[in-house]
Amino acid sequence: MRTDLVFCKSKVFVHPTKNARDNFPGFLLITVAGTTDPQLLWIPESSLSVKQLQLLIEMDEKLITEQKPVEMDVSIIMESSGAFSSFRVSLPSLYCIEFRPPSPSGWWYGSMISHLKDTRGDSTLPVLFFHDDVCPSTLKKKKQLNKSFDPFTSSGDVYWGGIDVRDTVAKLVDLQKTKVDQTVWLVNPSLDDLRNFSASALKSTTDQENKSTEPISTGDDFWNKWESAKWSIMSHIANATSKSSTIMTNLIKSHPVVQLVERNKNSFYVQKLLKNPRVIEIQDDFDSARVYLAKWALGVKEEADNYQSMHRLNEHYQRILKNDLGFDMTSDVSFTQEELNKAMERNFPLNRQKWNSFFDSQGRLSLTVNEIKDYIFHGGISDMELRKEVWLFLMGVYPWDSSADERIQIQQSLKESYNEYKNKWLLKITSFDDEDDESEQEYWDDQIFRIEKDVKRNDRNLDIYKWNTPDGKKPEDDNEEAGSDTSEAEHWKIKNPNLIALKNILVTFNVFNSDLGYVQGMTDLLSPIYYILRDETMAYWCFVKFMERMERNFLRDQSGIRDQMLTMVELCQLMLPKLSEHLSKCDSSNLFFCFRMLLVWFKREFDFEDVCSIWEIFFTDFYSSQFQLFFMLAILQKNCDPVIQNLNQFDQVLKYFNDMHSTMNWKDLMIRSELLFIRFEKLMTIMERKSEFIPSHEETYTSGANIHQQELGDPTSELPWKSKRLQLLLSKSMIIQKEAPRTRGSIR
Amino acid sequence: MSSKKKTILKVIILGDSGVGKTSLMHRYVNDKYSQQYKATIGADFLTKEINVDGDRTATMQVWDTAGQERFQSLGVAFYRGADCCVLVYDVTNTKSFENIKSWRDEFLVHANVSSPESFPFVILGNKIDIEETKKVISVKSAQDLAKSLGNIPLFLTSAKSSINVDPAFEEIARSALQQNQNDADAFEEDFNDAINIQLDGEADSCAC
Repeated sequence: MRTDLVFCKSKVFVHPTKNARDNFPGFLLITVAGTTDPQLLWIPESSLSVKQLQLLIEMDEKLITEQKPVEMDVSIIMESSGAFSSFRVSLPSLYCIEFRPPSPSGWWYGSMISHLKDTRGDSTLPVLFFHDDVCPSTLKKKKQLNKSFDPFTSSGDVYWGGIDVRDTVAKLVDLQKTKVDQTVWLVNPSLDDLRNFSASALKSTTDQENKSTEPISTGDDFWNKWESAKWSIMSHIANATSKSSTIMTNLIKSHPVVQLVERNKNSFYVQKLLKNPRVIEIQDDFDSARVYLAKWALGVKEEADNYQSMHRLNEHYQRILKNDLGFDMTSDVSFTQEELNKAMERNFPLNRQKWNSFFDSQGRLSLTVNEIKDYIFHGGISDMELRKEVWLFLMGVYPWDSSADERIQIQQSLKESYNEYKNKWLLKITSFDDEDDESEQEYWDDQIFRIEKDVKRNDRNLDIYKWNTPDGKKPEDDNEEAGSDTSEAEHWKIKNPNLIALKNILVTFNVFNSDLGYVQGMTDLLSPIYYILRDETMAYWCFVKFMERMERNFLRDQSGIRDQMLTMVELCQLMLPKLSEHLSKCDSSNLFFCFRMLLVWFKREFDFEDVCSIWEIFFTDFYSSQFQLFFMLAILQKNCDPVIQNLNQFDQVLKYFNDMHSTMNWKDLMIRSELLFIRFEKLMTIMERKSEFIPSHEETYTSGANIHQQELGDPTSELPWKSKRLQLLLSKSMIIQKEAPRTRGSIR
Repeated sequence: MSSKKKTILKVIILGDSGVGKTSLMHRYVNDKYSQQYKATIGADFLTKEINVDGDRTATMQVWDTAGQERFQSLGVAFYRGADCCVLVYDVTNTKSFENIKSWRDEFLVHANVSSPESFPFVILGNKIDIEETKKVISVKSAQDLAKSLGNIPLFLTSAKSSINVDPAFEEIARSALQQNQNDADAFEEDFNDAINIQLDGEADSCAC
């Protein structure tokens, strides 16, 4: 019988282990013979003769260009079937195929996972990875698409090797995209299949959800279901423990959910969920059954496609994307399901038990820094007591790889070092030159005067700073003057030990970094640190570390904060062009109204505990060392509509953003920040990729030259990916800008 | 003329950090006082509806600024269009008094006003509620300074005890309205004659 080759793709790899050395390439073929079902085959290169290899390489390019079937020598198939990992299935025997596009950054390859209808056998098909960078046909097609400045296919997706497979399969069988997961396509779906995977059935619940004022809480349902189902499995296990272990194993293994998980353990979702902090927590709860429980829990994601609650979660994020981010499925940049899932993993704060479990017997962390930062970025830290320890690591006072003993030593030497600096001003041991003595003395007196003034009026609503008594507690005799009621408003002496500590730390920092001096706003930065640590020495060193990062906000010439505001302007132009345009009509294109929020990291806009939660996420530098700018962007994005509809003057805009205290939900904003970052990163990558094919004659372009460039009408001139400021947003390393040496005439 | 449109009077408060700028603003606009005002970062403003010339009303926009020297470069963003500038010092703080002149100069440099020599300023010496022994700036030296800077009206105030705040701001409103009118006139009709305006509340000193 005549066999036609209708599709051939080279450099399709199998990754049997995590090790890249073990990957091996092959060809993905689709054949049609007479009236029999079309066949999907994968053949490893290693099983082919030189001649066969040459033939298939030829076919790879030929079929893409000509799109006509070619009669093929069946012997290739016959000889290589049975080779290691090769497979051959008929297309209609597949239930669904997942097409997972490559990451925009090129970190992981695009892949394809085929699921068989018949799941009885153990014939799981290997995951196929499309190494687009070495596949001639994919490269060729990409080049063609890029020539027309359009890296997208007719279906609107960014082109990659898997798209060719998908298009071919769609011609041979009925291939339908599921609505709940854009990467999953059903093969010859029955009506039931379509219904199960359709999101339309959920419309009524979604509409209700839209009316809810608390969108963030929608995740609870899912976890509640999980919790109750977890207990049902656990009770089965408990009943079984009295029986023999084989019975128990069989019992667990026969559970439909466990079976489902077993079959899908190579699935991206399953692996993804393994890393979910909540899942790990559940595992820890139940030692003996943890393996099965974990696997089961992971499988819930697979099953969850049938759960409305899960759909609602997706809907919620899609709604944010669609309505609020102004993003729709037909636009250039789309969030994939993975990215959304990643954002949804928030909500599980690091608690004491978890934190302790990170350390080995030496008191050394046994996880990688990135893993811990991932925890903190996505879940935060559960309480103030735990922050006391974790912040010292986050800030860099304790090295991540230190042991418990080493930390005790560090603490000791930090104490000595702090006292040394402190005594310099306390005992008036100053090394002023004789002639400068007077002005230096005047300078220091002024610094201390201003520090005291700000300490006295900082966060006095907090319990530890409230009462000006020697023990910092509320005086028993209420009539006694105690700080908050003192009549000599500006001239009272500080008695509260915590306020004294704040002052000591700020003055000592002034000795430590005498070029910078005391700048208003520093008290705002110190106050939460001291509140959490309650220890003058450790709070001091934490503050020193924090100031390495924040010094740029306080420079005399304002260059550091100006840089951030200009970055913000560019970011806003790129991500929120509508708002950006409106703001320039309001004389607010300089984003002056962001100044306070950026200077003290939203300290004045949120309640104290929220500030701690926000800061520790910034400290991680998980995505960017300037994540505060994405948080700022999220605030702008969230307020887009009211601003555009109601405000039209500089003063109105400033007032609007100045009066935001206690009106914002930081968690909602943080999820937006993350999605915005991901979108930004994607945009930058796509733009960069696109630009490789645009001849650039302005290599020295910098953002500052924007207007000049636009006048030239050069299409490349506005490409934001070339902006140094925007590029820097993708960096995780801290930006340090130091103050210039102080002279006698320096402004204060 | 501009009287048909609602008049907005923009007033800027300047002075060293901690002299009581925020407190004065809150006392005038809301008649409230708190010791909990944190150091101002950036700039903020409050508005108050005021009666002028009997039946007309105007909106006074009082702008509060950060006192620390290095933040002044940002002032440009909101000095523009000001109708009056209030210079505040603390009667218990010599330095804040000595800096009054430089605050005025700073403002004139950045605000880009049409005729600097006639732009209205008002000086407020704040915190007069504090006991006499702590006061370091005499009424005499304050009056001398006000005179030397071009007969600027001077008021000694206490935001905390609500002393003299309203009279001070009435004067500020008058000066601002005058300035606003002048600018509007200058804008609408191109007078060739030099406009010679006498400030009405001229240097009648303080009421304390």
